[in-house]
Amino acid sequence: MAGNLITVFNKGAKLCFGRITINNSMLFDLKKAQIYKAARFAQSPIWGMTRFWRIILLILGGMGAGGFVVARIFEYASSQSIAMFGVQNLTMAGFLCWTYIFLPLGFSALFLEIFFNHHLKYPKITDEENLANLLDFDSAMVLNRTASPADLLASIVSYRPARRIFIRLGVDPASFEKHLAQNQETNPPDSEKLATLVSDANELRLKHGGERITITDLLASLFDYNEIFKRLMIDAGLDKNDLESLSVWYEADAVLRRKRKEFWRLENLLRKPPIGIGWIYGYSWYLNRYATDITRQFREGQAEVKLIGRQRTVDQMEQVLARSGQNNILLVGEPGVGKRTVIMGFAQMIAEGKAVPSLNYKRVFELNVPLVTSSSKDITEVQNTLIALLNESAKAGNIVLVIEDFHNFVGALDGMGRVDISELLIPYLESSGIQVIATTDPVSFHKHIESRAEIIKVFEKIEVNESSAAETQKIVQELVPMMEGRFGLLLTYGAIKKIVEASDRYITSAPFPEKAIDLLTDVASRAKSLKKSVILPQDIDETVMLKTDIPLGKVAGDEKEKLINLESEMHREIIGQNEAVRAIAQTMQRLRAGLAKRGKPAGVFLFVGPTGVGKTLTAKILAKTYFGSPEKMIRFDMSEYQDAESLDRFLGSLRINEPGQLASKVRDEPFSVILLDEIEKAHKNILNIFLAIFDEGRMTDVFGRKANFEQNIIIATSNAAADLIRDMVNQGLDPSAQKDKIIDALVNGHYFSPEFLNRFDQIVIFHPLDQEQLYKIPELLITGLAERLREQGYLFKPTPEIIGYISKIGFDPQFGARPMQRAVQDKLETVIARKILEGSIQKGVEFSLTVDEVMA
Amino acid sequence: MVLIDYIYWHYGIAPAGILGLLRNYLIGTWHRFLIGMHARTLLSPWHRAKPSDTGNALTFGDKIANAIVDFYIRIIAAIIRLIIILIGLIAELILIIVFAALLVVWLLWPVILLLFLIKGLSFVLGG
Repeated sequence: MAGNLITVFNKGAKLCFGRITINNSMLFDLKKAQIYKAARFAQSPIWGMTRFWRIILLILGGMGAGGFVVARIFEYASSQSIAMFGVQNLTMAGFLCWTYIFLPLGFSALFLEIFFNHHLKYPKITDEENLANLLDFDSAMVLNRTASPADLLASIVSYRPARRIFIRLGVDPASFEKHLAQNQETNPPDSEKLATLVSDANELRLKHGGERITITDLLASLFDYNEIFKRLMIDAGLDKNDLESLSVWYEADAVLRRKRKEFWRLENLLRKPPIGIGWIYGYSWYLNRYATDITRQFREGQAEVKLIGRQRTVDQMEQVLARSGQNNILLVGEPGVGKRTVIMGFAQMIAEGKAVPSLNYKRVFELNVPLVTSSSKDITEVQNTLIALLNESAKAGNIVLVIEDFHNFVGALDGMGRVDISELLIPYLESSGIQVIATTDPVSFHKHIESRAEIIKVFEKIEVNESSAAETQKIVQELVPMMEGRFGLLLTYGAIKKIVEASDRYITSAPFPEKAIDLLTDVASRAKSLKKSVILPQDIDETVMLKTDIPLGKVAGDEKEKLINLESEMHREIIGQNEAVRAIAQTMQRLRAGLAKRGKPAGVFLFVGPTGVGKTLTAKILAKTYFGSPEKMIRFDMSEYQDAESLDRFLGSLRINEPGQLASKVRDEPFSVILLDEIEKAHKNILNIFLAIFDEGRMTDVFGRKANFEQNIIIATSNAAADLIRDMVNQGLDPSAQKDKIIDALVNGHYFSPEFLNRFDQIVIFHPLDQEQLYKIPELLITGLAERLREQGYLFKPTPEIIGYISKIGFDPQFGARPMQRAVQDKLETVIARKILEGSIQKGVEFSLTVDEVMA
Repeated sequence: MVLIDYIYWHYGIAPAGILGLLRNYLIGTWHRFLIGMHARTLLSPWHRAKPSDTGNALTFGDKIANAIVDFYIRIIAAIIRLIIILIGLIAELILIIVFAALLVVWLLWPVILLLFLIKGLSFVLGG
């Protein structure tokens, strides 16, 4: 029955709408809408055959006209009438007959097509009270065969022009249509609910500023009305907002395609450069040799740049370059934020004649300074070439010079191939005879350019900032068709969304949009090498995992086991300290399940307790157990950062021209444990910096480079208040139960401020180890030693006597496990090392030691 | 119903569209042949090049020679520009004629269609 229902609607045999009042100011009446005429006409047999007949009739008419002309020429040449195929009737009159009948009919069919495609499908919106007037043609077609929200999905999926949307959503329309036919229950017509859905779609249209309600608007609204569709989208990792974004993307794309196809539009006719525009301006022989004309590709229509979120910057550039006087631009932005795209966008604008008249059709040349400097060994010759080039640019009158990485050519010479062109350039820039767009990054700007007043004076600085995630999503969307074409694959919308999300969250080595574009390229290359044709969100997870070592995607297999048993896994190497281990394990589980908060580090802990109780070890074991290697722990001994000079080392300094150790290491290892040992000894300013890091999960160093801590667990350790903890244990009190007193001691002792302590997710009290726990430590240490020896091929078998002996001599409740470590090192490792050197221990032969041997 | 819409479009909307197209093509052609700019710079030096650029004119004779060469270059440049202007203007004229004819044909289309069909059929029926 359900299948039949869908079939009926798909044939367009039923229109279920009458006039439905939605509210006081809005109604829905499809039959009364202007677009309904187009929907009805599209289903009529006349329209169905129009295209076919237009082609046939025009061909026949054309053949008749062609035949007539040929016959006339032949007749004129030979002064004889001709017959075709030997039949006298098919002479010139026959050709004329064809032409007279078929050609006008063919043209009439063509006019009908123009009427339908350019007029009937786009009726003027006169009455917005009737929502149906706001429908676009495809939506009207779909709604014309739909009775309720439940059927709308089937109608859309069966409507061929809408199928590409499902493909983009990662759904095969044909199999989904079958699935719907098999599973959809019988739905009674519910026009009112359907009208409410259209009203929601209209709200969405108003939100994104679309002209008409599209199928994607209907689909996005369907999310709240159709459980099957909702489930499908959730499984694909998409929500209603994503469908809204998809709607905006496809609508903008459709409008753009339509405008491009309409070659008669003035903007398309003006795209071609005028004949002889170059005759007005000077020659550019030097520039042709030492620079690249980046406007040429736009003049010849070989390239296209779409500016997303950069139009304001380009407008700013236009204003600066169009004004009289000094009009040069210095674009300052991090590498990868899109400075080049901005320049390309500007070049495109003037190549297409869309800028102000004084800039239109100028030529933007990218100067290849290294090519100029390598043109001769003689520096004077290089300078002469450069002067000639600048003279030529000034004289030509239509040149905008681009100098990328301008900082490389400013200041003292300190390397091969470097030349200070600023001295030569400045007189030209001051004279306004030449226009220059230079680029640099914030670090180099502060380092090399800011202090040069004469350079600052001739340039207008324009900052190019990192794109937002929403802008980057649009940039990626623009690149997707090109990437799909090049690699022969399809990216689902979920995958596109995931590229932006994952690069935002897990890749910190570059800014937006570069990191997202890089990830897109990596994903496409990987899919190509794996011979995959459809890229799904999980493919993005896998690529990011390969790039960053960060586990992503669904938790499964070994990882699932590891995560569930993380606490017991850590306890295999950590004696006691249940509270600390539990806190860490729970944080890791939250982090991996995707529940970690954005804009904060994954976890921030303060471990307080006496020395030798396992604070540092806990961090190390976490790095090993979860992050995969002890190398994944970034350790800072904070006692090394007590004075102002060490502050420069830790946070970076322009004075010493060095980036900070903290930001550099975190950028290198974004998924790691950061251990801040003995944090109470650090300089107060460092603690203030951490106050911000704990709060925001990111920092910007003095060079403007950002470091993201969202994937880091930060563990700070402190021995402060250790005596108090020990006293509590001696008095038989549980220090964890007395946490408030310990925190008071930390604040009153001026170790930390209350607001600093407040930033920690948890303050974990480490207890001094009791005798029983201390006795377990040698066993762990000696087993570890045996494992290390086994890797070398020596089979050491620890005996209970040896373990007991080490426990005895290493026992010191004051210093915890450290004396045990020293005892293992001094007694066991030294003796074994000596025996290896003497040759009394053989590889592959099991051995053990006696207490006497160790004591000796 | 659609027939009425078609008639309204054919006579009420499309003629304005045809005139709009003519306007676009006239502007586009004017732009393509750069008629205004070529007219304004008709006697300007070719690519801003002057004979004196190649070296200093030291003597009066050099200056005279340079002026003569400059004059000749400007004249040749003006001829080339004039040719382009002329081609552009002819293209504009052709556009106006073609679109005027198109507009007439468009407005008379039902009559033309009928006449052509009658004529064609008369060929068939008349043998």
